[in-house]
Amino acid sequence: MVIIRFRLSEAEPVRLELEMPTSLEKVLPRAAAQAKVELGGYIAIRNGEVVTSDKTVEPDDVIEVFPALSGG
Amino acid sequence: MFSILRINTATRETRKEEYSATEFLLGGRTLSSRMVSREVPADCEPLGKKNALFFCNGALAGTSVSSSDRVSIGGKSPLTGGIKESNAGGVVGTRMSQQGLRCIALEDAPPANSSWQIIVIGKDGVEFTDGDFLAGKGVYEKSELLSAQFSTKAGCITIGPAAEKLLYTSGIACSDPHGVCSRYAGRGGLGAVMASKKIIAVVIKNDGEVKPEFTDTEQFKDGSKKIVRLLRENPVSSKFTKYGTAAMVDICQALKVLPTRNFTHGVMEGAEKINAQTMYDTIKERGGDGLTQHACMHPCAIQCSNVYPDKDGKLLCSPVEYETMALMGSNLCLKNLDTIATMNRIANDVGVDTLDCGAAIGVAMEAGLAEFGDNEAAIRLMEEIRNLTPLGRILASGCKIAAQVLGVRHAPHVLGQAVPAYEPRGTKGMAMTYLSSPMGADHTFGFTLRDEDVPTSKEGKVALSKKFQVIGSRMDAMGMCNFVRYSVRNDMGPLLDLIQARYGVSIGAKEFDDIVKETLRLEHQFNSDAGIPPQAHRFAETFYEEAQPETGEKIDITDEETAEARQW
Repeated sequence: MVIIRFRLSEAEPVRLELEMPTSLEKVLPRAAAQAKVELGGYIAIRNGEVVTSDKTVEPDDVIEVFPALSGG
Repeated sequence: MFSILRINTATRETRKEEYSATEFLLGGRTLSSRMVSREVPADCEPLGKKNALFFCNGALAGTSVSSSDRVSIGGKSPLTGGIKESNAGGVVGTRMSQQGLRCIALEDAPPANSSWQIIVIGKDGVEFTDGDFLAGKGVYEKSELLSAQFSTKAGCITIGPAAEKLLYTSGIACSDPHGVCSRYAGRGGLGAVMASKKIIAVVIKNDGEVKPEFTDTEQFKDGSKKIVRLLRENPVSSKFTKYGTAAMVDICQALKVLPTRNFTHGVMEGAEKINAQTMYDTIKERGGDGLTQHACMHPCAIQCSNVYPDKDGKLLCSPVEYETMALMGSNLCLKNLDTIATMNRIANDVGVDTLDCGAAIGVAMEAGLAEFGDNEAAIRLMEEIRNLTPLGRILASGCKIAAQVLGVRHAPHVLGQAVPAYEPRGTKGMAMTYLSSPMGADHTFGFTLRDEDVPTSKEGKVALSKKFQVIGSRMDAMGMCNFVRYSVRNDMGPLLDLIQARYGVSIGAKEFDDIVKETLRLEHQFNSDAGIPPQAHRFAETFYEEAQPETGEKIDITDEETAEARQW
């Protein structure tokens, strides 16, 4: 079970069953659609490290997804 | 044609000149940095009469285009010893446009014992009036007095008591739509440069009669609407509207780059107490004057600013931004938004940069002058600055000087300017940007963090930093708010089309980027001519010697890589 948390949104965490390791770029749109979150630029983080879209998401991963903002 | 109003602060002579060159069309940093490069001797003393201050609005100022009215202020920085461009929101850019001005230049300087002057610019001309009644007063009181005399609608530029004492972290405050001078061109000590010319305020009256003209009015209207649509449709921009820049607290904590305990850590336990959600909830709960979204200029479709209220719902500080929440919050191990907002208010009132003073207080805490996490002590140190005590003056001279005086090696700065709110050992892209900026450490100069696949690695970061140095500088180059860049990052067409519709001048995307790169080249050349050596583009050695605990990373960027990132 992969858990995707869309931070800085009111969406509940999304839990997805993955039958096999799958790239983030395939997992994230599914999760966003389920959470009804509009995906713009984002920063995905797993255990304090950035997960790029081509990286594989493993079962039991917890992914934090932040909108890609900057300071001013 | 575009007008520059030259004001000699020593002789009080004024004259207008008109130019048609592209640099005047674009305005903003394109113009301010060229004026500094051309007219300020690079080796002059920043607080001497040979320095000048240039206030430049941008190509779309005074029009209906969202977020297009920032004013770029250029001069030689007393903090870094190099060129400086610092920009601010508010209404000054708009009022300049209504007076038909692209640039106001403050030149020369009277003797230091001269009286303080206010320069008043209106449709009937320019006059100097007595400004001694403002001397020594905080910026909030100055704002009230200026509003009372010239109306809340005037575009007012002023400085705080710290600038009057020529302290290096003093900024220049510009009035917001309510007549409060709370919009700071905060970095680099340009407030002290203005004070060195004995100018305590510049007022641009709300009697300007110049309206923008358009080559193709319909195309401009359509283009202006397109910018609003792009901003509103962009999910990232909409997050700014709700949370403002405070959203960065959680992101930086997750990436382990939240400056903590004088930049010795990248994670603060309890950071959620000062994050965007807590701030949003606090503002909503307290109500009163509090606003979770607020426009610093009109028009603005982003409205990332806020009004933070006290416990009784009365305005405490506006705005409270992420950079301040980090440098005056996590960097000092403070977990109380009221404390941060109080410190921010004091900084705004005395007229100092929150980043540089936050970093200096971090150094002071490391030196043992107060405990990290002590809210009362942190406010007390800000009061030292407000009261201009000897310690306060040291802190308001920036973290480099504070570290030298207090015996601290771990001083977070580049070229004397404090490192902004991204711990450089954990984000080598931001580190590269800090090291290669001609302005000293500056996050807006090339914001790589959101695009770093492996933030802790320096691989590819020269190219990444340079890519974002151009992207980040595009908005400054024409007086736009930096946050518009999200909507035009891959296609500057919508903004360049507006320039075409307004002026009938076609500037292609490549041509525009070439202008941006030329600006960068000129800025670096100025610094080189000013005597800033390549080896000044380094962090304190402790950043190279000691690993940040959470990432295990040290700075491993070489002088050669930094030099490559400065090459244009």
